Amino acid sequence: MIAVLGAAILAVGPVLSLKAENTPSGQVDFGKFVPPSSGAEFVEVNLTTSLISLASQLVEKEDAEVGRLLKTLTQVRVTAIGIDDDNRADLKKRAQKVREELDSKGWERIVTAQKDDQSVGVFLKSRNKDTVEGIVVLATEGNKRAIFVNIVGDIKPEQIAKLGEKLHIDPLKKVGEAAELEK
Amino acid sequence: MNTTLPPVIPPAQPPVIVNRPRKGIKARYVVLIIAVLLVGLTARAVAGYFFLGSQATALRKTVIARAGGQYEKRFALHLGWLTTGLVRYGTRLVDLPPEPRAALDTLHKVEVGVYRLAERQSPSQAAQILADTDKTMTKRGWDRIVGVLHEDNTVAIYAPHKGLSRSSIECAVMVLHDRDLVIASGSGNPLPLIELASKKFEEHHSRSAFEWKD
Repeated sequence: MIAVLGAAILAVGPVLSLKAENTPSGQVDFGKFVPPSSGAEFVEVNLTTSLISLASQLVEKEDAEVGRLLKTLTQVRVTAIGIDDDNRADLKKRAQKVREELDSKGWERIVTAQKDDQSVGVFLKSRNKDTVEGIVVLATEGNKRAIFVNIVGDIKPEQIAKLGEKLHIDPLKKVGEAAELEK
Repeated sequence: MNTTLPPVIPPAQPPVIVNRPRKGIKARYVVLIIAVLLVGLTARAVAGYFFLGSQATALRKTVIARAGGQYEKRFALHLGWLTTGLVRYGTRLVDLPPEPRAALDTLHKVEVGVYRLAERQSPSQAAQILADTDKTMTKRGWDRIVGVLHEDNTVAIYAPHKGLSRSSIECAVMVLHDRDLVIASGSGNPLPLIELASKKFEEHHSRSAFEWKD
């Protein structure tokens, strides 16, 4: 019996470790969001490699630059969730947990902005100075909604503005523009 | 003594009657079987127009089960590749506006079912429906690519985890509005519709969803 268990562990072990190794370092698990029971807004978009690759092939002809940009991405996940009395504390806690996790895993916090009741945080995970492996945007619009964005891929820093422009994520667009100006 | 025996004549054998199948009867059976098969296939094909395929059926069953099991079928239509191909071919002779032309060129298989649930679903029930459909479709190797819950609207779009290509895409959609449930799924070549959509999008897109309000 022990031998069978041992064999099973030996067989499953490499698979599990392989799975852990296969998770890109730019990917962040925000956890599963539960739509607000009050009927407040809930929008979730989760594009995986196959769909992004398809999209890149489709736009390639019209806009080669965007096609190339999309080819560098492996995952785009956007969740916008309305804040109500039931989920306010959970969302706040979750955003805080994500921030702490990103800090502990060596993500670079490049933007922290607070204005009135709006706040935005942009985090980058870089492999080296020429490649960004992951981007996270955490935003809250007061008591209205919270937004969690994770973009995974092999992104060139100079592509960030374009990415923000094409995915309609203004904070990213501004980060990219600022980076361009610094050059 | 040299005697010659008369030749032995064997007793006459009764004639053997061999029952050979008559060609006429065999052909008649064959014709009959073919006719029955044709009628059966035609009936199946006609019935197929009013029954949803496996993905859409799985989605419908999941939603209905969570919504209490009571529903009224309003409409269900299934058009397979043969029908859509014939329609595409037939409409080549007609001068159509770009929108319906793109839609026809895109769709290779489409199925739509419209149902009326017995009760309106609360937001928490709608959230539970979304969780259930996620589970059902994940088991079938499909991922949710879009999920929206807003007021009394619930929308989920699923796509297969594998097998998507530039010329072949498949998706299943669930829309729940008030008590009305729409289940649709389809497959086809997305290029014509995406080209048209991108043109329209550029025309109408004016505001970023993540616009920073100054």
